[in-house]
Amino acid sequence: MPFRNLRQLTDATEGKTWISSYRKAVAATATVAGQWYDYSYAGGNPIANYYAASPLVSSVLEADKGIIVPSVPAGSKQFLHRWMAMSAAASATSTTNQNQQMYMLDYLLYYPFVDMDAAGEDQTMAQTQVLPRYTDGVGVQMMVVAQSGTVGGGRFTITYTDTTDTQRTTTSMFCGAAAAAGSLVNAVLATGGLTPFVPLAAGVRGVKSVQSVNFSVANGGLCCVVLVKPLVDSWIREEARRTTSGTIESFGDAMEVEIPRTRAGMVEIQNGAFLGILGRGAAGSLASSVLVGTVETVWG
Amino acid sequence: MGYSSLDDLVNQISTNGKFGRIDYNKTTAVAGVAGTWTDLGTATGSVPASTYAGTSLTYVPTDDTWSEGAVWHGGNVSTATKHFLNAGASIFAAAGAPWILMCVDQVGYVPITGADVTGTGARTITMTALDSGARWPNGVGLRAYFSTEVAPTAGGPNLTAMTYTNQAGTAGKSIGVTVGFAATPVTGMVPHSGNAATRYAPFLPLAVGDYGIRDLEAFTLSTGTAYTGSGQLVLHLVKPLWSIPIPASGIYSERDFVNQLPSLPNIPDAACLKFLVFQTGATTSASPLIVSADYGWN
Repeated sequence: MPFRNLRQLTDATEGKTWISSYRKAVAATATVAGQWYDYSYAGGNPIANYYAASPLVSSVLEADKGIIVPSVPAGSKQFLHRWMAMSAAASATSTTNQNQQMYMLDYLLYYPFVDMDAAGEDQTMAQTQVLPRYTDGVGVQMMVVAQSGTVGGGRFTITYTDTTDTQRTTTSMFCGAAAAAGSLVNAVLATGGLTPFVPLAAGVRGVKSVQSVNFSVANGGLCCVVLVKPLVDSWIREEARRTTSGTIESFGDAMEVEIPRTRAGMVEIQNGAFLGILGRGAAGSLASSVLVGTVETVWG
Repeated sequence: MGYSSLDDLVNQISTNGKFGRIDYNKTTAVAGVAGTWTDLGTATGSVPASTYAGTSLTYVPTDDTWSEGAVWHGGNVSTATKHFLNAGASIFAAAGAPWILMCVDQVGYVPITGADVTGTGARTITMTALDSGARWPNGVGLRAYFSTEVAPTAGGPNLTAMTYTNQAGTAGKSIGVTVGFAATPVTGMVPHSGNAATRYAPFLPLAVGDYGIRDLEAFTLSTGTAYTGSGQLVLHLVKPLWSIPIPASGIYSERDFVNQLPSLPNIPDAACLKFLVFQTGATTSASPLIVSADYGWN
């Protein structure tokens, strides 16, 4: 049963809690300034998620391959209590991973290996899996993750089913410049848009499934359309690093979210959730940076 | 009893003198491994290095008088209750940042030596189950983790089975997953942490719905590659109390426990305070780590 007041939450923290640490090391290939990056794609703990499944067939991710949180018994609900993150710089002189906006997501359903070279083709999805959580689609967003390096400059539309079971097609979206695998395709500081998620039509409350993707202009490479539920966002202000010459200086910041003290409401984490993180390298490339932190949950 | 208000907290500290301070320092024993947790018990400093003495597979309870490394926090205050008010920590190291420091109350540990490290059969632990009189009654909130007291020569087995009695007294509960251990865990390392599949860190998972451990029953290290050499492992039973990020080398990070929610982590009578640290990079050997904390009681 969820919490009715702060006392019940406090009582639960005497045992009904969980803490996991994570460490995700971004590959050495440069990412683009202003671009969002899917940390689930990076190696470390949890292990890298490459969205490996049959092309264009809906698939789900296993909870224990994301940031691990427990399942709770029927009748109980689990909530995010604390989220902490720090971003270690790639080197003593790297500063490009500072000022990093972060999202924590529950990854729900994905459609892998969309060919971004197949200009003009409707790439139709097969629906062997449906949303495992948030099944009404409310609040569910789409993001497009590069599964290989891209050339850039493409344009595409996605046809999807919304929460009212109405089929809709997005506006024609621009892709950014050449991007590294793991980057979000349509999320650079360019014509393509400023958000990590695919813009939905006015009044649409979420997405239930994806029917097809059509690249009107080739973008090069492969991508995956991922349905996600954004849970919470925050900001890492400064990279963690230490100079090695001259007057040796240390820098670093820890991003901390504590619910309900620093955020109103309670963020539920449903059983089976695959938890992952997006980061936006506002100051430059995230290449070879390392994101670490902890996730604490509480249930009642 | 705790504090009824901030005014009460100020009064108990300033008028009645019901407060104290913990100072702790260690020097990292060996070069760390990137992405792993380390049990600082094996490092030298104040408190001294622990040897985790005892008979293999026999549980050793620990409290604030544990001669091998308990942090003194002023003795028992019951029927009052004691609480952390704040904490701070610093690590000065050429490599390894950023870090995460965690404070735990170690209720006890199980030494694992000789063939119990290198063998592949089931190991049965001798332990008397915790009851309602334990400082964490019935084991509510307790978690378990392994650490390396003496590094095995090589290997990398899997924890293919582990059973415990949960907080409700149900015996034979299984952690339910296979947990991978590092091939060559250095001294102090939590071998099931790190950058690989099937690693759980810092604590081992529990069965669905369980939120405590009354009794450590048995475990099996098999499949993978059995450890060789004369390594020594330790299985710890602890209550996590708090954690604090340390973003950069040489900068003291502080945490205020009065204003977080829920606030004021409890230090029960006889608590055996210990520290774990997570390292993003490979922490340089012989790096100094300091921790201090204020506590009060009422």
